[in-house]
Amino acid sequence: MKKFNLTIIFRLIGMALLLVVSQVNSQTVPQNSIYQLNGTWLDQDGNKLALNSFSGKKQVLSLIYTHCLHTCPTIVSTMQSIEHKLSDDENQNVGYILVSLTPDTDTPAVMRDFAIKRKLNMNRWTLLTGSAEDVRSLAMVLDVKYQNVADNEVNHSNLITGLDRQGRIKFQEIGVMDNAEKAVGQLKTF
Amino acid sequence: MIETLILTSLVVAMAQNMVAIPDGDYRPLYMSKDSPQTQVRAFSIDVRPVTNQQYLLFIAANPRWKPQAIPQIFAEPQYLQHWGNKDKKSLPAKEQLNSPVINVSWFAAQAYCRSQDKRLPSVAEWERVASASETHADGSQEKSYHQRILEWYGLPSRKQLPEVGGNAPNYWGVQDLHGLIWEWTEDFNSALVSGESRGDSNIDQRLFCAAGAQGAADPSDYAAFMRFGFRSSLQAKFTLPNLGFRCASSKDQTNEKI
Repeated sequence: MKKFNLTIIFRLIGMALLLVVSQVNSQTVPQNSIYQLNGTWLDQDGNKLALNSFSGKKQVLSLIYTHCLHTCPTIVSTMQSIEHKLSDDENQNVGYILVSLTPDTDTPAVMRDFAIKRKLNMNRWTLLTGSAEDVRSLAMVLDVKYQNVADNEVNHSNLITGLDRQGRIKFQEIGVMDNAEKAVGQLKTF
Repeated sequence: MIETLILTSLVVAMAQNMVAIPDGDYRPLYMSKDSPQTQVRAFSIDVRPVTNQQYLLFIAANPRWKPQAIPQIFAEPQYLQHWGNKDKKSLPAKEQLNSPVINVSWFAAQAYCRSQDKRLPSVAEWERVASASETHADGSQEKSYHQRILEWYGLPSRKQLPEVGGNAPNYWGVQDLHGLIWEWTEDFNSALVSGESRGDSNIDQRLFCAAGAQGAADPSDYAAFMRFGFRSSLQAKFTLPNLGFRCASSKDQTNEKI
């Protein structure tokens, strides 16, 4: 009986702590931060995480899908070009995030293969997959438009977004190589 | 006793009648007559738009969506402004309770539907249901159908919206799709995919260019063109005095007895 009570008490304390933590979180995330979005995401290693876990570093983010043949490879190359134009020191403070637009087929394993194939530096890059609803919500805060079409292909905006350390949108560029230099310049302004 | 009463009235108010819509086709208006139709899988949709009262109960249970708490990334400052001052007492007036909730953003609408284990309808789903008249699944077979919708589009916005349920049920038993408010859809902005110079599709021109409409499935469906134009002008955080929503679901919820 005593044991049972203790379990309950521990649970209650745990819940109370969770509440406090979530309160603190919602207070520290700025009003106009995309980290206000709820939702649980999976990274390429299958780890569950919240967007807020990306706070603390600047982030360069884009929505793509791994079997995309047209604009996505250019978006990824542009992001890699941004990465290579920054010094190692500067890259200490920058992360690179790719979010899948086809979460049903882009499983963590598929994204991991993609990362290897594209030679992404996994100390800096994260690939995310989430529920269709969470992907749509993220696209909405970024004003990225997309539409699923036949054969699991997606028409989508071709945008690279720069976030500050607290998840506020600082710049958006079309994901073409010519814009890498511009994005690098922007990243150094905040 | 009183608590039970309050709870019961809560549950009754929250429960929304839904109707089941079977598998079917829908031809986006900007497609030509020969283009394949879009398949719309069976789904359920709320019979009426969400009311101020229902929305009030939602934010009572989810304080994050109160006007004074909602993060600014999720809604413009006009969020729920028809409820009066943005102080802590912001409540709908008694005569607003059964009117559709408006001045809500896409994020708020989505959160509401999620809280009910539902979702927003897609454009295709909404248009499929809304293309029915009172007697035909394909309303365009009735001469007055488009005319009536356009007449409503031509009316100025009313200060106090009528209550939901004032329009006769359509073929599917769904009410107020036309004649009361405009409604959010899950993928409202996807028809205009290429906002950038390196455009990834060209359907947007066909939506807006007059010549482009020549190839459209039904050029006389000017009302649908207006809806697509309106939707593509929206952003998810917009809050407008004529824009509300209803929810949908892929699960069959029509037989649920509450």
